[in-house]
Order: sequence, then C-alpha cells, then structure tokens
Amino acid sequence: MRTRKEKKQKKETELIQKKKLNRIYALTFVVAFCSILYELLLAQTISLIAGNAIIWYSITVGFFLGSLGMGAILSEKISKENIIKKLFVVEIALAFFGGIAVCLMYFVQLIDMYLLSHGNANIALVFMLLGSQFIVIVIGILSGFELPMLMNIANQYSKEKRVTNRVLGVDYFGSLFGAVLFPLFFITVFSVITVGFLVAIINTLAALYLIKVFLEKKENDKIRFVLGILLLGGFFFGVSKAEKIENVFSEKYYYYPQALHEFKDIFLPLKGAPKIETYHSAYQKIDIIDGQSFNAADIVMDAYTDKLTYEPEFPIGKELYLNGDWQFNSGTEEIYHEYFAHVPILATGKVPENVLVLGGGDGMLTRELLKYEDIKKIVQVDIDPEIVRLGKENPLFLAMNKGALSDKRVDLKIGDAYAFVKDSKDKFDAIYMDFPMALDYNVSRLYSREFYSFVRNRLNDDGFLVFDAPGVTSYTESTKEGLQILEDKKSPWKEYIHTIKSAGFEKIVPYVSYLEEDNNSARILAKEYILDKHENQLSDEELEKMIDEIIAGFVADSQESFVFAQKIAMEELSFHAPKISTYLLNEKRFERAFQLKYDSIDKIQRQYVNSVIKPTLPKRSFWQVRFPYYIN
Amino acid sequence: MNLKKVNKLRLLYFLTFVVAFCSIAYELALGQALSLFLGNTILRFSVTIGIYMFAMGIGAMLAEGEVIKRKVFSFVAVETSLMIIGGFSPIFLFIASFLLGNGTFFLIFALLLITIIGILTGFEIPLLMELATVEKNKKSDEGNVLGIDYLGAFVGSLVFALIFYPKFGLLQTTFFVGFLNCVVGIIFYLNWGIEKKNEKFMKEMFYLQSILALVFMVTFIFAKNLNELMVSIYLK
Repeated sequence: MRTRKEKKQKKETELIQKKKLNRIYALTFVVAFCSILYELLLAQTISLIAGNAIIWYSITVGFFLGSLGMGAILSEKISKENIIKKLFVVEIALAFFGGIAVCLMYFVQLIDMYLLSHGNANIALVFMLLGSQFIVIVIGILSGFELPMLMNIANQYSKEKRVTNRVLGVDYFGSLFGAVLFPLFFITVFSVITVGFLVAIINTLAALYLIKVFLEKKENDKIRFVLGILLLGGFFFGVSKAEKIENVFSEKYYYYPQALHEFKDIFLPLKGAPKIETYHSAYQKIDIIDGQSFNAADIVMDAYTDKLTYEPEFPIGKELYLNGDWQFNSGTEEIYHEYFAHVPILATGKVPENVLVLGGGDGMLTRELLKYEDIKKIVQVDIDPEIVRLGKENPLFLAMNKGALSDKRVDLKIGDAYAFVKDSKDKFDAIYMDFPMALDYNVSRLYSREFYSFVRNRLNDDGFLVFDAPGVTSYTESTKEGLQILEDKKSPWKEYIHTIKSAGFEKIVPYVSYLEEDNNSARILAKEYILDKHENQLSDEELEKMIDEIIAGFVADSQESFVFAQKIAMEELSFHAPKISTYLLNEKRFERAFQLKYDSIDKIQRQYVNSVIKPTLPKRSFWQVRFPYYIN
Repeated sequence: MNLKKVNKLRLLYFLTFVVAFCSIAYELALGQALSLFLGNTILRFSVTIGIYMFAMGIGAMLAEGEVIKRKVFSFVAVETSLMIIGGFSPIFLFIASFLLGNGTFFLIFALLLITIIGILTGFEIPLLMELATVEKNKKSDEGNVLGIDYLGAFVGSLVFALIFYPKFGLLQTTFFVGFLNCVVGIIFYLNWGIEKKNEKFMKEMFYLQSILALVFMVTFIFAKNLNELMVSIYLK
C-alpha cells in the first residue's frame, strides 16, 4: 500500500515538475522574442536617425550581441539564491528601458543635431555613437542575464543536461519568431515608438507571469505586482499617444535649426509648427511637411518657370521625405522631373513607345511621360505599396501628379525592380530609374553591374536608360569655366559611371539640370525681396552682391545629375524640337545640361564597379548622421 | 596539471569565439546571396535569419545522449561538415541557380542549405559547454561559453558588414571564414583529438581539414577571377 502511495506521490511531483518546466520554456520563448525585437528595434531606429544604414545597423547589432555576452558572463557572478526575484528585476528593468529606448534614441538625435548646429561636428558624431550605443549596451546586458538565469531556474526542477539544451532551443525559436515578425509585421504596421511600447507590454506581462507562477505563496509580492501594473498602464498610455510623441520629435527634426535654437528647446515641444503627415511602410517612413525654411527657390523660382501661370492651383512649399531624407519640394520639383523625363527624348529626337519606370511611386515622373501621346504604354514597378497608395489617393499627391498612376496607359506593378528586370521577358524603348540614394545594400543592388545588365537586356537595341545620380554634386567654378562633377570621397560618381560601363552600355552621357545665372527677371525678384527685408539703405554694390548670392544659391541647389546610357551608340545627341510644351526646359537650358566636365571612361576601372557579389556602394567613408536638409 | 587545465579552458573559449564568428558570417553571407538571387532583401533576410535560428534551436535540442557523450568526435564531425558546406555555400548557390533556375527547387535547395548550416551551428554550443565543463572539473560553465559565443557573433557581424563584404565580397568572405573554421578544427585536433579513441577517424578528419585549409587559401587568393566567373554564370 505504502509503496503505491509513494509511487503515486512521486509521479505527481514529476508531473508538477514537468508542468513547471514547460512554463519555463514558454517564458523563455517570450523573453527571447522580446529581446530580439529590442535588438532589431534599436538597429532600425538608429538607422533611421543616422542615415547610413549598414554602418549603424552593424554597429548596433554588434554592440547588442556583445552586451548579451557581457550579461551572460556577469550572470555567472550572481548568486543563485532568490533567482526568481532577480530575474523579475531584470525583466522589469528591461521592459522599462526597452519601452522608452526609442524615445531616448530620438533625444540622442536632437542633442546631436543641437551640437552640430552649434559647430561641434566631431563632438556630435562621438556623442551620437556613445549615446546611442549606451542605450544598446544597457538593454543588451539586461537581455544577456536572461538565458543563464532561466537555465538555472530550469535546473532547479531537473538536473538533466537535456533541460538546459531545451531552454537554449526554445530561446532560438523565440528569436526566430521575433526576427520574422519584425520586418514582416511590426514595422509595416506601427511606428518604432509604438513597437517599443508593445514589446515592453509583452515583457512586463512575462515578468508578472514569472512571479505569479514561480514565487512561493508565502512570499510577499504585492510591491512587485503594483510595479508591474503601473508599468503596464504607462505603456498602454504610451501606445495611445505614440503618434503624438512621434510628431513632437519629427517637428524638431524638420524645423531644425529654428526648433533647436537653445539647449532647452531639445526638451520642450515646438509651438505652432505646421502639421506633419506621417505614413509607415515596410520599406520607409514617409513624411510630408510644410517647407518653411528660407529657400532661395521660393524667391526666384517664378522667373525660371511658367508653371504657376498655367497651374495656379499647384501646391507650393510641400516637401517629401523618405526615412528623413529629402526627396522633393513641390515648388521646384519640375526642375528635377522635366530634366529627368524630357532631356533624353529631346536629345534622341524620338519618343519611345514602350516605357518602363522603376521606382518613382510619387507619380510625377510618370505625369511628365504621359504628356507624350506617342508613348503607348508605361509599365511602372515600385516596391512600396504605401507610397503608391499615396500617389493614387492622397489629395496632395493627386494635385501634383494629376492622377498619373491611375491613367489607363500605366500598368502599375508592386514589386522589387531587381526581380522584375531579372525575370521579365518584355522589351522597352526607354527605361527610367527613379530610386533613392543607396545607403544600404538593399538599395545598392539597384545601382549594381548585375542590375544594369538585366536592365540592358530589357532594352530594345535603339533604347536608352536614364537614372538620376543621387549624392553626386556638381558645381560651378568661380571662373565660370563650366560645370564640373565634384569628386570628393563622399561622391559616388565614379562608382555610378564605371558600373554602368561594366554592364555593356555603349554610350554613356551624364547631364545636369543647370539653370542660368544671368536671368533678368530673377534679379528683379531677388532685388524686391532684399529691399523688402532691409529697411536701412544698401549701397548698390552690396545690393548686387546679395542678388548674386541668392541666384547662385538657387542655381547650385537645383543642380541634379543624371546619367543617360544607350545600349548601342546612336548618332550624336543634339537638340530636337520638343513635341510637348515644357514649363522650364528650352533649347538654351538643354545645351547647358550637357556642359558637364568629367573624366572620360574609356577604360573600366574595376575597383569602382559596384557588384552584388562585391559591392562598392554605399561608400564606407560616408560617416555622417542624417540631416533634414539636403545639404550639398 | 592545474595550469594546463586552465590553459585548455582558455583555448576552448578562443575556439568558441572563432566558431561563433564563423557561424554568423556564414549566415549573413547566405542571406546576402539569397537576396541576390531572389530579390526582396528584407524578406530574404528575415527568412534566412529565422530559419537559421530555428535550425540552431533544433540542433541545440538534438545535442543530447550519444552526441554529447562522444563530444570530441561530434565536435570534429560538426566542424568538418560546417567548413565544407559553409565555406562553399555561395558557390553551391551559384551552381544550383545555374542548374535549377530560380524557381521553387532552387528555393528549397537554398533553404535546405541554411537549415543544415543552422543545425550544425546549433550543435556547437552544447558541445562546447560540455567540453568546458570537463575542463572545469565538472563545474558547469554555461554563462561563460554563452557569453563568449555572443561576443564572437558581435565581432562577426561587425566585421562582415564593415570589412569583409565591402572589401572581399561574397565569395572571398566565405573562403576566408572557411579557412578560419579549418584553423579551429586543426587546433582542436591537436589539443583534444589525439589521445581519444576513433584515432583513425580523427586522423582522417585532420588531413581533410588541412587540405581544405589549403584549398580555401588558394581560392581566397584567386577570388578575383572566381568573382568574374560567377558573375558571368549569374548573368548568362
């Protein structure tokens, strides 16, 4: 009898042990899930802030993994007594810091920008590195404690080696789950601030579950519960206000430097700033803002274009930013889009019938192309459904692109341009590539030898390819000898040009939007502006100098470089009478566009060729922190 | 005697570091290669990291019983397989893409490759923990091994993205990492492999690893030509 009872009792304890072990596995899964999400979230936030995604993503993931290691090693030094309570403290601390980490990162960014605007560029960079990585290290070390502690708790119920390995295994599964959900779900739906709060909520719940299940009944755990509930409340409140919090940070960023005049401005919300429209997608953060800043273009643009005479309703002063990088200003966008769309057609004198547009989801390049009746069909491929949706539905975008994306001649596809040109069998007369600057390997592929080779395969023999060359700066010499490409260590010019050459294009001609400085009506507009601003008397000499400055600034700012390439070299490029009317582009400006001086490219220099197998873009010397203005 | 144990433990930590470094580099190279063939980088990377970690989990769970008991044998077998499969993985992908196209079969092959490397990597930590426990006179040493493993991954991910990939490119990187893996195998053999049973197997593996190290070195040196060859296969 007794032995049977003993057996039954033994079986029961085994059952309880098994149950407890399963709960530890579940807990391990959840905390591993949270940890990897913190890691990815921090990396994502810093990349958003800093700009050069590869460098900052690597540094962050690296520091996080390193701190995990530190945490794991440190955990060996902690006594195994009261390990449940200790783990609870770790989890609560992790939830707290993890939840607010994104906001802390934004403060690091603001302080960094404040330092920059006050002329301390090196200090700003060091601060950015130390400040951001300090947050990463804190969260990494706390996460590093988790796994060894959970292994210890599991070992209290069973000494078997198997159990340790299972904890490790479940930890990996949790990480898998988080790593997949983050890019496919979390960042496609929520802002990084919201994701931070949500993960912290899950983390806090795990901590509460831990003391509920594993702490002996007699122990007083009321304080812990209250702490947990308070934290939960705070994070739920945060989720409900996330959009507002994000907007406060965005305003500081976009209305810099006025918004960050004094140090205390960093911590005070900006008053009276125009609202910022923000949208999130799997690929980018899309911001539409009211450009308030002093801009030479606002003063003299009307002297160069007839646009507002014919389209008085066209929106002015709106700016689009993708991931905080400037894309266009609605008041000057036609400089970019007219040169982009029409210069190749004017130069070859032949309107293509079948056109492929890669990227350009805002629809404005397509708007320009649709002006040609001879263009029969435009296939457009953009990867981001959100920007395409805005291009089709957002009133501001519609006012700018005239509903181009819904035109029946446009066949709009959502997808990866790389996969499209690789797998498609169609041929085109012209291919336009409108991509953002390559700041990570994901975009770098779209400037690679492989990609250009596939694009070349998609061209008819007399077809051409044209793409804008982001990050390339052209400049006028003071002697006015002509326009030259600025080749400093940040400029990816050589990379672009040697890569396209390596893909087998016969003729490669760069051109640039290069407006004239001797424009009388522009001088009159600038003069009016200056006299309006200055009450005291200016000498003629001073006045002339100020006018020159405004116009030179406008001409320099509106310079955009493009690369035109033909599969087979055709006759010399020359001006052909346009078949459509343009607001800005005329014969004189067309001629100026090709006045670019650059080293000829008879021989391909392999060390510049950007290949997916061996990338040279983005350039590694590009150690800057992202800025609201497109500063050249 | 005691001193020797301490030194061997340190050596084991070093091996853990290098092994973790190699693993994360293989993983990152595979993710990069997969997005090269199939496009859509974010999705490919998530899937690669996801499947890799999942496979590591399976590996860690499989590492029990006989595998742990015959830890020296297991570790040598795991490392040898890893250097062959990992070191040549981009080449395998290029060949598979050439033979199978870029359809479902290619995807299955690629995922299989990731899974195998993941499972093999998953074996490593439990084995190293067990080996460290022996060196520490049966005292468990999980935190330290884990910590050093993370540190190796830390350095690996930094070096891959900032130095290896931009400087060497995809192929040369994996050759170099494969070479490092061989060095681990050889050091391990010299310190743990000799006195054990399975002498014949160990010796054979040692020779194999030495030859592989040589192969990796040669391919590393001639990687420029190999790059050209692979690009032309890829663009055919």
